[in-house]
Amino acid sequence: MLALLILIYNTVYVYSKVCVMANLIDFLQHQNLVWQGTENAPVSRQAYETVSTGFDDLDKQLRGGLPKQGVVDIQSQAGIGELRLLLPYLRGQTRMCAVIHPPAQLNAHALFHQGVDTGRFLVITPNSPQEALWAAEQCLKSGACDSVLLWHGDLEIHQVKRLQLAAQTGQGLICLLRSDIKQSASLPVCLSLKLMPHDLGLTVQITKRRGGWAKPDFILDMSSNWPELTSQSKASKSAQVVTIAQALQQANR
Amino acid sequence: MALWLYLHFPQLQLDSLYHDRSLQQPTIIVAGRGHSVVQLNFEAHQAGIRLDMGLGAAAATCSSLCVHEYDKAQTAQRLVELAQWLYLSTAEIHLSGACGLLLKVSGMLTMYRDITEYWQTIQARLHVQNVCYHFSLGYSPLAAQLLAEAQFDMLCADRERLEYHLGRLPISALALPNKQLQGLVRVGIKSLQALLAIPMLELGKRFDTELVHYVGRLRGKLHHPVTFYQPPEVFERQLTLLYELENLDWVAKPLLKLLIQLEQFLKLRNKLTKSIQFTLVQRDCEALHLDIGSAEGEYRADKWQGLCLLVLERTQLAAPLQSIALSVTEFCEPDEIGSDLFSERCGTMTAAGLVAVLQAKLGTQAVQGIEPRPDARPELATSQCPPLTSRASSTASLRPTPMLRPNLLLPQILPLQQPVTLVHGPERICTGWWDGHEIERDYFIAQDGSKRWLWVFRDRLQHWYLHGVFS
Repeated sequence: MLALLILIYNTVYVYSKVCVMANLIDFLQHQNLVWQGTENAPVSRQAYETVSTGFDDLDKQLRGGLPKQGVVDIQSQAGIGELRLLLPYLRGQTRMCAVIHPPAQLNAHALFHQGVDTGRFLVITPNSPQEALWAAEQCLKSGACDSVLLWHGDLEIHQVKRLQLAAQTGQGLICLLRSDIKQSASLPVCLSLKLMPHDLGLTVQITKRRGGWAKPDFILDMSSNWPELTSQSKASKSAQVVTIAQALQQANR
Repeated sequence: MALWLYLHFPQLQLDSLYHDRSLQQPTIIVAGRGHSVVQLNFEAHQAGIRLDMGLGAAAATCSSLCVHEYDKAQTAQRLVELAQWLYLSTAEIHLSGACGLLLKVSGMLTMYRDITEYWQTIQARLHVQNVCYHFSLGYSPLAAQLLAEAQFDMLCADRERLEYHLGRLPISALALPNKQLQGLVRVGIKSLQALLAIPMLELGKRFDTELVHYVGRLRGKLHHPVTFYQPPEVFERQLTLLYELENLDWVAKPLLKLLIQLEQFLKLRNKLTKSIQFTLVQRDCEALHLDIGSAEGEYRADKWQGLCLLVLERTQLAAPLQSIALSVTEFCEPDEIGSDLFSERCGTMTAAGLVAVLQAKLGTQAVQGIEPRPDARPELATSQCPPLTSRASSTASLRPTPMLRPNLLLPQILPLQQPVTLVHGPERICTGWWDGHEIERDYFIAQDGSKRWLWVFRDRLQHWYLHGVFS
C-alpha cells in the first residue's frame, strides 16, 4: 500500500517537473533566447544579418547597419532628413522599392540626381489605412521588393507582427515612417529609431534594437553628403543667411 | 495535279455598302488619280455608266449618283471576313490579291461526296454573305484565277474543256507588264492558246525568265506560292447561372469553372494572356463589363481567380446576376525564364505579378512608377508612368552635374505661411515660355521654426510659396 502511494507521489512529482520545464522552454523560445537546430534556424539567424546604411557612424552604432529583413520603426518629424537617412541604403538595393502613402509626391528628379534608380520605385497611394497595410503586406510577401517605405500613424501590435511575418517570407525590410505618435507602447520591431533635427544633420536615438542594449543619443553628421542641408555651411557662409524680411529689403532696394 | 477553285469578287466594297437591294440608288466607287469608276451597281449600269469612266462623265450621265471612294483597307477586311466565313466549310484558303480567294479543292474531296456537293456547300455559304462573285476551277492556281476573272462561272473539272476555255482568253487577260504583252503581240501571239502551244524551251530562248516563270505557273509545272489562311484565335465562353445571384461573393465558383476552361485552352496552345474580359449580365439592366489585366502573361486559373476576386470586391451590382461570360482576344507567348536556376527563390510572386495584384485591388491609378523627365520646371521634371516601365537606368551614363532637389514635392504649390530662415539661394528658374506654362521663380532652401528643411520660392510679384520638403 505504502509502496503504491510512493509510486503515485513520484509520478505526480516528475510530471509537474516536466510541466515546469516545458513552460520554461516555451518561455525562452518566446523570448528568442534558445537556438534550436530546426529548419527555422536559418531564418531566425538571418534576422540578425545587417545591411550597411551608408553612414559609417550609424553602422557602428547599429553594429553593422539596418537589419536585412524585418520591421524598422522610424519616428521623426517630416522634413528633417528621415528619407535622406535611408537613401544610401536604397541606392544599394536591387529589387523593387515600394513607397506607400507618402505625405507628398515623391520627386523622381531628386532621386535621379542622388544616383537612385527610379525604375525600381513603385508609388502606391491607397485610399485608407487598411489598404495601405494590405499593400505593404503584399509587397513584402511577394519577394519582389527589397524595401517598403510606409508612412503610417499609430499601429497595433498584431499589425506589426503580421508585417514582420510577411517580411520574413519575402526577405524584405519595411520602414515605418511615423510622426506625431500618441501611443507609447513599444512595438515588436527589429529596430526603432527616433530622429531629431540637429545642426550637423540628425540626432539619432536608438530606442530599441533586437539583440542589443539601448545607447545614448548620438549625432549623425550628414554634412559630407548634403553640405547645403546642414547648418554648418551657415557658419562658413554666414553672409548668405538672410531672413525673409532682409531678403525683401534687398529686393526692394 | 491538285484542283483549285478560285473565287473572284469584283465589287466587294459595293456589296458591303447596302444589304437591302430594293432601296438602292445608282452607286459607283471611284479610284485612282483620274477618279475612274472601278465598281458600279446595276442601277448605275442602267443609267449608262460604264467601268473606267471618269467621275465627271459619270456625274454628267446620272444626276442622282452616289459616289464613294475606293477603300483598300475595308476591302481587305471584308475579304478576310469572307475567308473566315468559308473556313467553316473548307480548310485551305489563300487570300489572293485584293479581291480573290483561292481554295484548294483536292484535299477537301475526301470529306465531301463529290465536287458538286462541295460547290453547293460553298455556294450556300456565299449566298448568305450577299456578295457578287465569279468562279472557276483550274488545275493550277493561276489558271483558275484567269478563268474566274474572265467570268467563266461554270463548274467544270474536265481538264480538256478547261484548257480549251483558257486558250480562248486574249493575251491581255494575263497579269503581265505592258511591255511584255506588246512583245507577245508583236510576234503574233494574240490568244493564250498560241502562247501555251510554244514549248517552254523555245519560249526561254525568245523571252525573258519572268514570262517563262509565269507560263510555267500557269501550266502548273512551276510552284505557285500560297499561304493558307489561319483564323485568329479567340476564347469566348458564356455560363448561364442556374439561379440569379445577388451577392458577388457567390460568383467565385462559376467563375472558376470558366477560368479552368480558359486554362485548358491556353495550355493546349502553349499561350499566355495578359488581360481577360468578364461580362456580367444583370436582370433588366446594362451588362457590366470588367477588364482584368495582369502585367505578366498568365494561364493558371487560380491566379486569374485571385485577381478577379480583388476586382469584384470593388464592383457593385445594380441588379441580380443572370449569366457571366468570359472572353479573351489577345494572347502572348510564354517568356523565357530569365532568372538564375540556382539562386535562392524567396517570396511568392514576381514584380509584374505583384503590380497586377495591387492594381486589381487598389485601381490602376493608385499604383504608379515614377520617372525623371528633362524639364527645368520642378513640377514637370518628375512624372508618373506605368509601373516597371521607367527607363531611368539607361540614361545613367548621361548624368549631368548633380542638383539639389527636395525628395518630396507638394502636389500643389502652397502659399508660405510660417516664418522661415533662408539658408541657401537663390536659384532662378525662368523658363517655359513656349507651352503656356511660364514660370519665373527664385528658389531658396529654407529652414522653419521646427528645423524642417523646406524648398520655397518667390515669384515675380514677390509672393512666397512652399514647393517641396527636403525629407
